Amino acid sequence: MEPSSQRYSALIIDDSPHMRILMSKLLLRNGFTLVDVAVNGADGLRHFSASNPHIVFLDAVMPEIDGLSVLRQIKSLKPDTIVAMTTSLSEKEKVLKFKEAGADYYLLKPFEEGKFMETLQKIVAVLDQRSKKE
Amino acid sequence: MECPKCKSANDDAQRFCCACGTALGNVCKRCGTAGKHEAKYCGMCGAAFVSSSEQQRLFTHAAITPSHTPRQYTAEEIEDLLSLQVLAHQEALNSEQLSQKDLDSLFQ
Repeated sequence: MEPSSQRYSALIIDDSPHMRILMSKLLLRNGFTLVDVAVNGADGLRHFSASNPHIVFLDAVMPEIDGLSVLRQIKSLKPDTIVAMTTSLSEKEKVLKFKEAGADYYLLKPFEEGKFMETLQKIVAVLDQRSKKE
Repeated sequence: MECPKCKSANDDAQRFCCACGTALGNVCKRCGTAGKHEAKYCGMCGAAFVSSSEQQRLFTHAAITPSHTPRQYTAEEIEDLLSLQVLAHQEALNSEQLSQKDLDSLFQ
């Protein structure tokens, strides 16, 4: 992973403590220094407004506010935020709703570390390109 | 005794019709045992008997009432049904489960 990952901040919104720990570890191990976590949809939106992250790893099925509503709010607040859905939902009908709402990546749980890293590299490459243009 | 099904004459002592084999007199609904005319309950399992008159009513009802009456549809109804079939097909396609590979190509 390029050292540029240090410049980017990430927010993990997931009601599973296991997933929060796993993704945080993977992000920190790969150069991310700004990693925030939220335990449900409502908490996620609060953290998003406070930390304004470059990347959001978002679970779909959560208490209080579901992932789709969170995604819609994030994309309406800051459309250039990269949102990677991390969920076990794989029905085409549901997936298309996330696509329509602006999800950038979709990781099907349970995912392997390699798959997470592959997605992370794609995200960092997109963010690097954006910073070059600016 | 007259058979409720084929109307053949049978001896009163007979439990089954000598012409068609239908149970005469009372028939147990639970275990199928044929009993005497005056018996109200089956001596084998204790269930209530179906009387010969009830049997006759059932046979007649079955003969004149088809179990399924075919329905006639209008052209409009057929069109509606066909469009519903198309919708059901679309729903089935949408409920298709996607693999990570499918998702990767969808979210390129």
